[in-house]
Amino acid sequence: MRKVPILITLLSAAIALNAVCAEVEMGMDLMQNIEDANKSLSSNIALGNKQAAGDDAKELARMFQEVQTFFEHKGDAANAVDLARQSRELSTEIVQLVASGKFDIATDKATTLSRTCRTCHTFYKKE
Amino acid sequence: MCFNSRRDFLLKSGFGLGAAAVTGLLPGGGLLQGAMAADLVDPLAPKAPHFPAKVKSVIWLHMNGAPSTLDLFDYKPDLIKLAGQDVPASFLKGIKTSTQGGVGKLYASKREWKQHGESGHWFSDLVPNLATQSDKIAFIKSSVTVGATHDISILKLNTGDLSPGRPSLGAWISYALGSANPDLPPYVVLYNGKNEPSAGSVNWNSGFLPAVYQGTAFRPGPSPIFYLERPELRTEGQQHASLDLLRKLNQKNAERYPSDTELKARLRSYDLADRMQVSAPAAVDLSKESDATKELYGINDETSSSYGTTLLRARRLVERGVRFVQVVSGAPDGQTEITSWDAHNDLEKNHSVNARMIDKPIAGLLADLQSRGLLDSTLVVWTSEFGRTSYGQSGNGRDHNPWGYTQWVAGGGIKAGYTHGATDEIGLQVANKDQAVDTYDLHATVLQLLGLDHLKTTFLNNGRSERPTVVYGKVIKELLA
Repeated sequence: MRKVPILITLLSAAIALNAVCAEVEMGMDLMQNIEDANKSLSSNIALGNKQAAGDDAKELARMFQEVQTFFEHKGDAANAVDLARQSRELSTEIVQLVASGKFDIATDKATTLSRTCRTCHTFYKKE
Repeated sequence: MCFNSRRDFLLKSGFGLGAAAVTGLLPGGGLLQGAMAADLVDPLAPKAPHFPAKVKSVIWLHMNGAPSTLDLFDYKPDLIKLAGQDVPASFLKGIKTSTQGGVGKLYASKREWKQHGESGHWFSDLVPNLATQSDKIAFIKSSVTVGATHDISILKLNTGDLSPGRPSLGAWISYALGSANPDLPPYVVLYNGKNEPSAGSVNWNSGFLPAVYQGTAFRPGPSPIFYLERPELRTEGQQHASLDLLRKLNQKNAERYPSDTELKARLRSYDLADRMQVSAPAAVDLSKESDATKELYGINDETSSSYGTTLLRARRLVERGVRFVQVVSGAPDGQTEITSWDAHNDLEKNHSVNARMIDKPIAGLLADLQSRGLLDSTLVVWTSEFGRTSYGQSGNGRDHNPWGYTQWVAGGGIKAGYTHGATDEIGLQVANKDQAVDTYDLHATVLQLLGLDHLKTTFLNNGRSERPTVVYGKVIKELLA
């Protein structure tokens, strides 16, 4: 009978460990996905593809919200929270700009978005 | 249209593509953009920039190995005052160091510093000749990059990426503007020393652009290109007959495989090689240059002779319409111990040799370009893959520093005498990150001066629109006159 509580304890520990690993793993996969979406966004804006650029920008806004939430929970990362928020807002702005066909301005904003990513990497990217 | 086979389908589609290409040359652009159509006809035909250019040519002076600009241009009295002490923790905030043996004490070499010209730019005693050209120069003292190893940072400096595969800046310029002289490549790479630059030809590659846009390396010596000369056994008439036949055969093949850019490059290269048998040696032949000019470039000094020769060749290439001359610093003739600026130890000795190698030649180049009326149409860029740390390494050297270093530009369209940004009090990091200038920003600015908007200089690669500055880049407007 003692085996059952031990088993439950072990199982709970495994689930908790998995959640932590998943959180770290999500961070790395998320960053890769953001980078891919950002490059796709830049390309689609240059090609004047409203639909695809808008989809990329919406996806980026969603992902930057995840990044922001991640760093808010992590704590002691005020810079990262702020940069993630800026990135999310830029992404949302790009959605509006491409919808109204303002691709030149969208290009500038997308470049600013890329630079914001790099700024955050300076502080937080693990080598 | 009826297709009897897959080969038949592709052949007939190729005819359609060729027709579409021709329509692209008609007013209004036709089925393809004019630039794309021009590629299919002559990939190096001159193309108009997006707006009027300030310069026609670029001489890109890559100081291989990364000089310590803290010992050349970036005077830091606080570094001298604090030399021998530990780096205050506040200066290390936000950077990740990886110096072997750990971060050393702050190091100051034995330099004398003076301000020069009306600009008041600071120069150390290592570059007295360059100091005389102070008022031609605009400094970028807030340069940053990523990567702390030479090969990957050199790749980023030239191509914008840490991994191979992207075109170099010169290749983008060749693609966007074409050639101004049909007898010479639009993009030439020069170097001094026995060996080709160690970082390799990936740094002047065309990447995903058609192969015709890659740089052509001219080796030191009177024969810049291997096997360019006609063998003695063949007459000029025989050579032309062979080339005519080869051209016809290649053109037939090119019509069958219109998307084969390697074939187009080869086709063009034979024609160009034929013309270059005369034009290339003439471009690098210094025998008609005056003794005064050779003296100006330091060619009569053992240490600066090879680099001075290289820069004089660069001037001659620019005179002949070469758009982008990428000069990579090597080693003085006979020097085997100090082969680059990479002074992890014994910085005094290393930089004494390297500074002497380049000081008079670069000063001579600037003065010569000006006296010939070429400075206003040429952009000279001093650049390196990163800088060097203000803390020492191995006692008397400096480690790599991507966080804050100095580059400079001179020539047409530049606000001569200006300084953009600064490093912190000890010269370790950029003082104001809003003024940081990454390699993409330098590329964007170079393209701007050539009349090209980096955001509109694009190429469709596997369905993705690519540009020279990847997804980054901002023109440094404050640098522009």
